[in-house]
Amino acid sequence: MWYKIISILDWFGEMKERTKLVKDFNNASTESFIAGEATTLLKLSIVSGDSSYKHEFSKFFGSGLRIKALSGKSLSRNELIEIADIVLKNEKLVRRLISLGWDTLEVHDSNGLIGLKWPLKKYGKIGGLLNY
Amino acid sequence: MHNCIYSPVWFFLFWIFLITSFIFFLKKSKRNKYESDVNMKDIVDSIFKTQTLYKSLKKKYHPDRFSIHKNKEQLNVLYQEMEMNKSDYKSLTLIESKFIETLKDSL
Repeated sequence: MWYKIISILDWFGEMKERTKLVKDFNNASTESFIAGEATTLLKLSIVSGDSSYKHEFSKFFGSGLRIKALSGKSLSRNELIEIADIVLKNEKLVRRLISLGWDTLEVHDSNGLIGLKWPLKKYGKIGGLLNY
Repeated sequence: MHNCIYSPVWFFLFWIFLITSFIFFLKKSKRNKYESDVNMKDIVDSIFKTQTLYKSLKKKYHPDRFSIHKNKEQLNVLYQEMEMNKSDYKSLTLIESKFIETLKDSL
């Protein structure tokens, strides 16, 4: 009975952390947009990820993260890559995203039709020999 | 004996045990909660500010400009560090201050 209670508590804890991460990012982006530091408003949301990018810890529902850039114009491919690069080059953040059950990172422009996606597993530098 | 087990006292104790154990596990789960060390403000800043800062630093502190400088090796190391952290705004600002310090010391 206890292990079931613990697993339920763990599940709730994980969900709370996932939503907190998304909330933190959205708050930070809106604050910088209001302050005039950022030219475009970024919005992070949880979506269903790509099934081909799945890993052992990815969630069944909501395994994708989408960054939507709300700019006045449609962004070019290079601009989308630049936005994603910041997230993907931050190894700590990528590992945290993987541990919280995400496997796909999508970057869309304001139109929402054109976007790029990356598998997080590739950028976490997971694997190799353990260091004793 | 039978009446003793099903007495209200035992029932009461059983519920107290259940509630305390539940609170204990709740606290334990809270204690183990992973505290995040990823600051979202830094990431958002990195998205919008790194490109301009990196370009300006690249122009300002390029190793070719300090080929006959006293601390040129130190400046080269800093430049390499800058190249490695070109997508991190926080570390770029730190490197900029280091650049300024080394150039001050050499004067």
